[in-house]
Amino acid sequence: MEKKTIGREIGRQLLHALVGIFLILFLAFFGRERLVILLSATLLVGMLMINWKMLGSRVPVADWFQKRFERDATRFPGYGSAWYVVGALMLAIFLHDISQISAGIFILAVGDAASTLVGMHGSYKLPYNKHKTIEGSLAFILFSLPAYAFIGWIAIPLAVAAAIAESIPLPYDDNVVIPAVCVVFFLLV
Amino acid sequence: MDSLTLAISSLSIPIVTYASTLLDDPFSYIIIVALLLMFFEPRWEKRIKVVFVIAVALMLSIGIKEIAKVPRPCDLGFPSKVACPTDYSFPSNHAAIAFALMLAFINKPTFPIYLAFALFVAFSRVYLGVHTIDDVLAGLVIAPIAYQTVEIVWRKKR
Repeated sequence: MEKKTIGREIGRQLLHALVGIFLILFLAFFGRERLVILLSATLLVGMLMINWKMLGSRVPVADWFQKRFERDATRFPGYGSAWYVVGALMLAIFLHDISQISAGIFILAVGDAASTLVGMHGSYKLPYNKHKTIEGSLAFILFSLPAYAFIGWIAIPLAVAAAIAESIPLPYDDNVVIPAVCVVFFLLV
Repeated sequence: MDSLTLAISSLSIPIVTYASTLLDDPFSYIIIVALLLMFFEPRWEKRIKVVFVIAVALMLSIGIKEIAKVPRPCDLGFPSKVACPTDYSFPSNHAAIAFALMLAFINKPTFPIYLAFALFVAFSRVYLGVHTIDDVLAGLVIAPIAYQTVEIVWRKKR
């Protein structure tokens, strides 16, 4: 990977983790109802920006963001960010327990970011997915474990389940697969 | 019940009540959605794709309703402006359809029209007292998943 691409990926993943931590703090201070409104409003405004960008208009904030943080090969501008907000919104709407929502957001934000950062330097490819590494999946589990602070010991099986789901080559974005696994996990447990 | 749902459902504006009641009726709602689709999208292939996106969104919505089994606000004793529907509340089928329709036009100049329509549909469900804010905003989660699912199948077909 090129130095510039690696630099952008590090920035991207740091932002990914920081936004998640911001959302957890927002949830703790303002509650679930306001988080749902914040995420929905962000998603709708984001969709309008994506629409303008797709029609060829210049959107200064989105352009700046795209230049610094977005991957080169995305299906449309704001692709990853849009799925991230959809994933966080899924957690906030489908789960009602603040601890469970916080744990889900933490795994989505920190576990996934760590997995990408460690995984891109890893050398042992997963047998069923040549784009992901064993080191990346282990980092996902390890960095998701602090979710223990929100939900206790069930953070361990949840982190493992989310890491497995994240490593499988699915046609859906990781940012929506991980929250979906968290929602199903909490429904079953 | 959340405060925003209570605030919206306690409003009473005659023209909004009329428009919301019109959208509440499944037959007139389907006609309006079909007209919105036919009027702004001239290509048949795209129209069929959008119908599939709506169908997947509806199936997901109905499936989640049966799993979640959340009672409607009107079933819990909160007043509603129309007869209380007999199925479950979460998520709103109307909102899921409207957001799915909106998303199918994200690359078109007419997108703001669909966005406004979807927002009004979502508002109208809460306004009528048959859904909560959570129910309608779940449509914002269901619609992109439905769209992506149809995209995957569509790309494989080609």
